[in-house]
Amino acid sequence: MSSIERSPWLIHYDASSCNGCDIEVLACLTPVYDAERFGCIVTGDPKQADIFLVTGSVNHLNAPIVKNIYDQMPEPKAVVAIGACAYSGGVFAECYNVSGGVASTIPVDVYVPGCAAKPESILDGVVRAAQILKEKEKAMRATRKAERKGRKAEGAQR
Amino acid sequence: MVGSAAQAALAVSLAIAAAPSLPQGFVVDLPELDSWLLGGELAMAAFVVVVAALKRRGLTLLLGIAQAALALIGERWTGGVKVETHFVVDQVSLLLVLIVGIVGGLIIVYAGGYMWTYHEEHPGVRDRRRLFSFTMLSFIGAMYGLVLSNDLRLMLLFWEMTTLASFVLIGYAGDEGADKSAFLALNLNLVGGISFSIGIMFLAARTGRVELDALLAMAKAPEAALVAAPVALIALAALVKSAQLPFTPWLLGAMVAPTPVSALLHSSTMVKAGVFLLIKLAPALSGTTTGYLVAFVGILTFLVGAFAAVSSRNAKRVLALSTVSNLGLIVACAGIGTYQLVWVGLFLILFHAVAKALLFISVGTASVGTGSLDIESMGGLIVSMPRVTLFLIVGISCMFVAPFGMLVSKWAAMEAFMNLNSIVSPFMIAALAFGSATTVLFWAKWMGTLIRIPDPSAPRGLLEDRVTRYELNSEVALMVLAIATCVFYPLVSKFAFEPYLVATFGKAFGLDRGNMMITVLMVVMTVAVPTLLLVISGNSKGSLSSAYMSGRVSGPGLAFKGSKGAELRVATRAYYLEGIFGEKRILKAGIALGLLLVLITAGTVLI
Amino acid sequence: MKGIEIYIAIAYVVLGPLLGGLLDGFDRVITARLQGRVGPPLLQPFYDLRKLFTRRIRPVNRLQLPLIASHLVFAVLTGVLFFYGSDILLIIFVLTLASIFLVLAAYSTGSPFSTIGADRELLLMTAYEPMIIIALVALFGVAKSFNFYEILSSAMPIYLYLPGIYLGLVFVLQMKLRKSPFDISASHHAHQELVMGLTADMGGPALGMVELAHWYESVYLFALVLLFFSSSWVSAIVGLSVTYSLIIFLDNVTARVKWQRALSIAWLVTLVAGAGNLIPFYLISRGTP
Repeated sequence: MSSIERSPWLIHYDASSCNGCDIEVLACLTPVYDAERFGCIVTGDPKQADIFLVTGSVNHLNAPIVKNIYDQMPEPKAVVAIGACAYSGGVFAECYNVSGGVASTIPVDVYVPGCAAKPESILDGVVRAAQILKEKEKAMRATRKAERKGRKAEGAQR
Repeated sequence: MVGSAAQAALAVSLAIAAAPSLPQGFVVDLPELDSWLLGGELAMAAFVVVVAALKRRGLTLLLGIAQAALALIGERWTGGVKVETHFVVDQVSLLLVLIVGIVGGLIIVYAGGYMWTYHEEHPGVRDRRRLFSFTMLSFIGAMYGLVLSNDLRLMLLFWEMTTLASFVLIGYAGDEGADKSAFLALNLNLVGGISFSIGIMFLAARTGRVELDALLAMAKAPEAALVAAPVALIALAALVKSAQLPFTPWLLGAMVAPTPVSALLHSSTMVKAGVFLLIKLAPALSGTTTGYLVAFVGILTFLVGAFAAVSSRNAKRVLALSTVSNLGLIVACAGIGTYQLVWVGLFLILFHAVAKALLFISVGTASVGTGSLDIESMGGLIVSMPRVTLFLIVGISCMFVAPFGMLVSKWAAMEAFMNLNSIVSPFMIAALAFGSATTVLFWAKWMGTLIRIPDPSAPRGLLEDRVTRYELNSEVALMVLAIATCVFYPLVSKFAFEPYLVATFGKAFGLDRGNMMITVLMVVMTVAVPTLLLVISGNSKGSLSSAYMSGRVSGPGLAFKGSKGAELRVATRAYYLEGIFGEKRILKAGIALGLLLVLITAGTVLI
Repeated sequence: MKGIEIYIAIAYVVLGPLLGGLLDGFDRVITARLQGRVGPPLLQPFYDLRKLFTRRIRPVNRLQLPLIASHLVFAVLTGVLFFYGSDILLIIFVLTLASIFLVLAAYSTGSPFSTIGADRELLLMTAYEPMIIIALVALFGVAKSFNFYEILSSAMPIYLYLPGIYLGLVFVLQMKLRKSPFDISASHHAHQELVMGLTADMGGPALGMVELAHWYESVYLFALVLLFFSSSWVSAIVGLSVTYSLIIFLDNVTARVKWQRALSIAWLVTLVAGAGNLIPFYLISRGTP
């Protein structure tokens, strides 16, 4: 089992959620759902997080912030969009200030359905995101290897 | 410049010449010595009286007259006393000679560059650089005399000379603030001088001797009671000179002087004269009531200095308070006066002199660059003045980080206090524990301010173009010296201090050889590891990320984006904890307590 | 005992993280059970550490990583010296050196979170150092030695002589181990304070190094506690378990204090429990060489 699967650290950002999904995210941490079973820790710090949980639709004001948090996370990283709003903007999709779901700003790996999303499905989303991270890690290693080989070959040519 | 080099060479050659056979005594074969001494005292008193009259300072005038009167009255007992050796060169005085010569010399070299910028920045101050250099050099000359004198009358003469020299230097700027500080320093030190001369009179009247070695010999013999009062009076003078509570304000006031003066006062001269004398007196102080009182004054000063330094934002003031604090520890060591603590005290003198000189002159250079003495204005100095920051960091490390000198001494002090087997030791240890923890706080936060990098992409060394060659040379030399003392201190211990302790106490003390080697290795590691890692990572040209700023970051550097796209720059400042360590309050309490202790000391003299 | 120290020191370098990680793992499991949760697997800290070292993150500036690496090097060195049998008083000063590197790494970023975290860490250092020094001095007073093994083999029930100092030490260990109520500079596990305080700008391998250094540190901190109970195997096991449980218990039942309180409470405890124990002890043992 890859280490990332056993220790996915989370950061949670409320884009412009009605707080329904946020409460369910917090519920995941309580004894009933106990996200720490999967090695999850909710850090407040993007630099220490592996999986980005976003709730709510993205609007013009917070799009740069979503982008910024995403950029500060170490590679590889995964994004989980939680709830209907995070998927498409939900009932707010047509609002003048809403740019749409999370995917309008950053690439999303897992969508968790629901309005609000259930804690069980949020946990499921996190576990899936961890698996995706594992794949990304593998791919990253492969590219790095290829790069190194390429550089070596370049050096040999010279 | 030439003078400085010449006197440093003189100091070194004296050390080399005298080193093989220590201690060595010298006799001044001068039949009119008594009249010369009296003449010197009167001339200095006359100077004080004239200056006081010109500036209308009544108290100083009275003190000057008192000094002259004492010199004349004292002549009755001290005149014509038979003196066997006038000067004695031993390991301790040689250490001081070397410190004064080399550190003092480097400070004068530094002054060559600094005073030039100083006058450029302070057009209001009359350019009296000739007087300045003359006084600095005579100051150093007087220090040589002071540390080598065995005849206490000679020592007093040099003692008063340092007082006057410091008076002239502190008042250099000539404005009201400088005058006030200069006269405060003069008044307090004149009081100390008067106590010193009364002490000598007592000594001469009771025992017919005026030599330091004779005094020390008698202190151990049955006639110890005879010399108790003179020892206390002389110790009091030393407390004034070394700026112990309640006399601390004169040294804090002396900050108004140009930086080289502060560097000289704090590191190699003046205050070191006071602790030097106390260290010399240690065998006479050890185990006496006066000794314990002196030790308590010292440890009180140590604590108060460290606490007060936490809440101060002015770089020079922090340095001054830290000097006061460290001197307090030396005084405490001398007051208890066991051979182990004297070893500690000697090393504290050595390490402190070098590191503090480095710190003062580097702060001077930094303040020219940033235009302020505020520590907060030094935020990010590592970017704008990388070289000066290196000097400051080395200096600060030497003051409080583990394998470096000051901390090694503190560690040895702790072990020595433990071996004391007296009821004062738990108090001393507790005070030392609290004091050194506080020391860590105020140095480390300063260091943190220096290396704060608000914007890694900013160009480097922007503020360094006005740093003169003289300044850089002395700073580099002192930095090398500071690290060298930490590496080679076991040798100093073996060849200088242990022989002195054997000669004085009959017992030698050094830290355990294995421990000394560990500390030396650690010094090497502490310098090498970060440097090595820095060099390795410096080669990696990988890109950087911005610091975490809660998402709403704006561009490079530390700023948030406010509403309507306005950029809000982040300002951080270190903790100063005014509520807990308020400087004024703590100093006031310290002065009151110190005064109480000194009054008790005075009371014991009368009894 | 002679000659074996060097092997113990080497074993510490290799096995120290294992032990430290396990201490942390048990801590997380026990904490979860106290809260009625299942909690992570016992080996969770090791998974976390391994993961941290696989992450790729750019540093904030060129000083940050060298300073953090120095922190790790000196934290390990402290432990090596400790188990090599050097003077433990010296070792505590080296411990300060290691912490200073971490604080400087945080300061260097200039970010408000890291800076305040660093400020608070310094404050905590000021708060706990006197107590640790007094504890060591008191240990010397009982065992007449500063060597770890000599105190260990003195076979005296030191906790009976120095109960106040033991309690004071546990109190400040709470700071050193970043436990509530004193986790004000950076916090552990799922807690947050000032984002991540001192470590706010450290991610991936940088955080991994800090974590590793912390494990190394916790091993010799518990070895220090062991000195109080070294009179027999039973007392050693009971003493260590009680201390460990006490620390976790306090972590779970207390709320974070303000930094002003942290300093004043710690100093008060040091004065009352530490100095208050030292002085009577000194008076009683005085005269016995």
